[in-house]
Amino acid sequence: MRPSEYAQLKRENDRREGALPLADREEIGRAMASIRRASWNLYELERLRKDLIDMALRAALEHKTLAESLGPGRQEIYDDMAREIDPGSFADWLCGLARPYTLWYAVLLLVNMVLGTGRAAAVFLVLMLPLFFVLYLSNCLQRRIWVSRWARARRSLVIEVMLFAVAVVVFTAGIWLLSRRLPRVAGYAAAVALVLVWAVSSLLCRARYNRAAARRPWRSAEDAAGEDHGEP
Amino acid sequence: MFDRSQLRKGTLEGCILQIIARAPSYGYAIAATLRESGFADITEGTLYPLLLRLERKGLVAASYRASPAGPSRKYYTLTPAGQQTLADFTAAWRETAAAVQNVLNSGHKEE
Repeated sequence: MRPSEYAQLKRENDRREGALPLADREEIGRAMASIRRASWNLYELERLRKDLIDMALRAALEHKTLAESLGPGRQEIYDDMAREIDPGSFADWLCGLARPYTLWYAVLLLVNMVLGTGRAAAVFLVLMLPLFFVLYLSNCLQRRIWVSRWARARRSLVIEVMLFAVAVVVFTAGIWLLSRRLPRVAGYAAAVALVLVWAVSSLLCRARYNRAAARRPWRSAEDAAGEDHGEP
Repeated sequence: MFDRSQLRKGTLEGCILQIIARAPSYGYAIAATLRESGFADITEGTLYPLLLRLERKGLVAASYRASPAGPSRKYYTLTPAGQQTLADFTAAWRETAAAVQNVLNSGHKEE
């Protein structure tokens, strides 16, 4: 199986960023905190982080920090980057934000089975889809709001808390409404199915980002050739 | 006071495409060329979001190449869509520049 290009890029970025001075690491952290809120595309986010690390290294050659090299208007540059980066699609959302939840759901389902009944497990499963939908809408709204600068205002925290509260209310109300109308299900089998869903989606996401890496590579042809021949 | 930034925003993309059309180039070098041409405050950092936009729109393609000094460089080349956009920009710019020039000149004649 082909190794995950995204995982390799992330590892490489972590290693290179770890070798930078603290001031540059903090600056890259600040930049990425802004940019991550505008995109779900994990591969493009890491590719952008690689470019920021390269900029920091070039600045170091001139005995400057990244912040000094970008100047006082750097937050505006980060905002522009956030606006221009590929925002990502529904598939990116599934890979980045929803997929990890599937595994958590499996764990919670098992806990639910131990503590509750097969009916509770059924409620849990039925509510997964609406909750995912609410989560998706909430993420869409957050991203749209943030990118349009509205969320740069202090209201963004209030909006996020409100969206989270709506999700919790929908989830809780759903459980209350559905709990007496559903049949019992084999919760353990459902948990195994969820783990399988997680495993299959992991493979699909790996294939997706490997295709992205083939279209928009993150390393030089020389490095890629060295990698193919097992060189460091 | 006249806001130059609005005027510049619309033209900078075309200028970047023209620089890349001459030969594939990387951010730092493109910024240097723009500064030499009169865009005094352009740096690699301010240019990066624009290059990101051009890449996302499919007008340029980026690839990394090892550098003899420092980290690898991200080279940008023009795609066929980029060539078409550059041709459109060049034609539109000439028309606009000529029109603006006519207006400015006629203003002088009336005086």
